[in-house]
Parts: sequence; structure tokens; C-alpha cells
Amino acid sequence: MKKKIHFSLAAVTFFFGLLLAVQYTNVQDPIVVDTRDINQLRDELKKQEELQTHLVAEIKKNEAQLESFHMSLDNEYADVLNENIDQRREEIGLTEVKGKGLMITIDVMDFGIVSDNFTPYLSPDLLNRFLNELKSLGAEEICVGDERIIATSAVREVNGRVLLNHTPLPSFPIEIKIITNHPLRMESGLDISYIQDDFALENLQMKISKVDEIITLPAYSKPIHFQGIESNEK
Amino acid sequence: MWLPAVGLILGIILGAILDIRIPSVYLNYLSIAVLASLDTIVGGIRAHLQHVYDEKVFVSGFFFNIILAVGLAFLGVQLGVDLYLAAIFAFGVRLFQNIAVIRRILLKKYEMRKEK
Repeated sequence: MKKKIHFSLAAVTFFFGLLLAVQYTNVQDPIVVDTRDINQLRDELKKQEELQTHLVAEIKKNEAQLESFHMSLDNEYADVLNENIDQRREEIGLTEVKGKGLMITIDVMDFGIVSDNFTPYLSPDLLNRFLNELKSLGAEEICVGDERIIATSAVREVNGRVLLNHTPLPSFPIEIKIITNHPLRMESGLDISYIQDDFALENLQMKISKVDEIITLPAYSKPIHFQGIESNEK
Repeated sequence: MWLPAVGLILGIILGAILDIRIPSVYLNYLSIAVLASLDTIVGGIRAHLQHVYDEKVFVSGFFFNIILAVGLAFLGVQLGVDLYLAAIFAFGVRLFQNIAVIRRILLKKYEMRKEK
């Protein structure tokens, strides 16, 4: 009798253990069903392939650089480093650059009426949105007035004045120079962009004056401060 | 007493080896089934200690409870009422009661042995 009890209990506990183990494995790592359709998968594949080619190009570039470091003699070593530094300075906008691009003028909309109580105002928010739009349309380098836009550039409003790189914006018309690889594409992109409507709401208008010509952008002139980073003087 | 423990360990090992995958939608049912079976096992141990153990009742109760609990949960999903809570509540309360009874019986046995 006692053995029989144990036997059936063992069968039941066996089943219970099975359930427990299955439950445990399923709770620990549940199945994630991939619900992407073929287009999404294709997009993903394309993205990954682009990333791969980009990475391969990067690796090649770095390998070539490494090679030149190895190949160079001691005096050439400095040249390679200097070249590297120049390249970096160019990348972050500390040098004057020339290139194909376009020039945009932002001016007050001309209604033909002169109103006394109207002051044209380009809000920092609108300027930021415009700069983002330009970047998304493929702008390589941007310069507003005489101020070059770099990675740490900020548009701020202080006491009613709009500051860019801690310098007040010039008065209207404001000239914006852009260097891009595809000036024509950018022009058509701006033509259909909602940013024109946003300018119109502020009684401003945007004119594209030069397309596909070599333009010159000034260098970023102010010192760049890094908090917590100091140059090694050794 | 070692045979049920061996069964439990064998079951856990088999379950881990087989790596059975259940869609997350049905995971709720599985957890209720686990609770139901735990309740039945504890009930069986209590019945054994109280000398009222009946094998047919135990084995049929085991599977019937699981099916009933899962069925109730399924019905709850269909009706939009959280009926699985009823199963969890019922099994949970019974689990505690049964464990309390087992504890008392074991304590009594321990004391009787001490007196001897």
C-alpha cells in the first residue's frame, strides 16, 4: 500500500517537475516573435549593408594611416601627425572651407506697407529648426552671418537678443551659407519644405540666391572650451 | 519517501533538457497549471498524513484540477473577466491551509516521539 502511494505520488511529482521546468525556461527567456515583413527586413538588410561598407571603409582608412605611421621615419612622423591634426581641425570647423553650395538670405517679408509697430524677429527656436532642416537635407558646413556652425554651437536668447556662438545675430537680411555635396537637391528640398511656412508665420521670407557655385565659409573664430579636459603639456 | 523526490528531479531535468517552448500568450495557463499541481501535491501529502489518502482521488484530482484551472482561465479570457484570479485565489488559500495542517500533524508527531 505504502509503495503504491509513493509510486503514484512520484508520477505526479514527475509531471509537476516537468511543468515547473517548462515554466521556468519560458519565463527566463520568452520567445520573441519576429513580426517584420519583407520590406522591413529588406530595409534592415540595406541598413546593415551600408553600415558594413561604411565600417570597411573606415577600417581601410585607419589601416592606411597606421601603415603611414609605421612607414614614416622619425622626422616624417611629425608630418603625418600634423596632417592628422589639420584634418581634424578641418573636420570640426576651425579652418576656412570652400566648396559647392548655396547661399540663403532671410529677410523681412515685403508687404508694401510700412508698419511702425512691427519688429522682425527670428526666434532661436525657428533658427534651430531651420538649421536642423538644413542638416537633414545634407548640409556639410553651415555659416550664419559670419558665425560658423560647429558641433558645440548654440542658439540662445539672452535679454531679447538672439545669440549664436555667443554673438548677436546680424540684422536682416541674414545671409546663410551652406556647403553641400548636392546643392540642387538641397534647393528643391527647401522649396517643398514646411520651413518656408514657418518663416512666413514670423513675417520672414527665405530666398535662395546662389546655387552650385564655389562659396567660402569662414573658420570658427572663438576658442573652444572643454570642461574637465586639459591639454597634456608633457 | 525518496521516490517522489526522484520523480520531481527527473521531471525538472527532463523539462530542462527538452527545452519546450510555449508562446507567451499561453504562459498564463501554464503558471496556473503549475499552481494547481502544487496544490494537489500538497493536498495529497496532507491526506497521506491524515490517513485518508485515496490514490484514485489523488491522481484524478491532479489532472482534473489542472484542466479545470486552465479551462476557467480560458473562459475568463473569452469573457473578458479575470477568472484566473478565482483559480489563483482558491488554490492559494487551499495551499496555505494544507501546509498549516501538515505542519500541525508533523509537530504533533514530533512531540509524540519526544514523549516516548
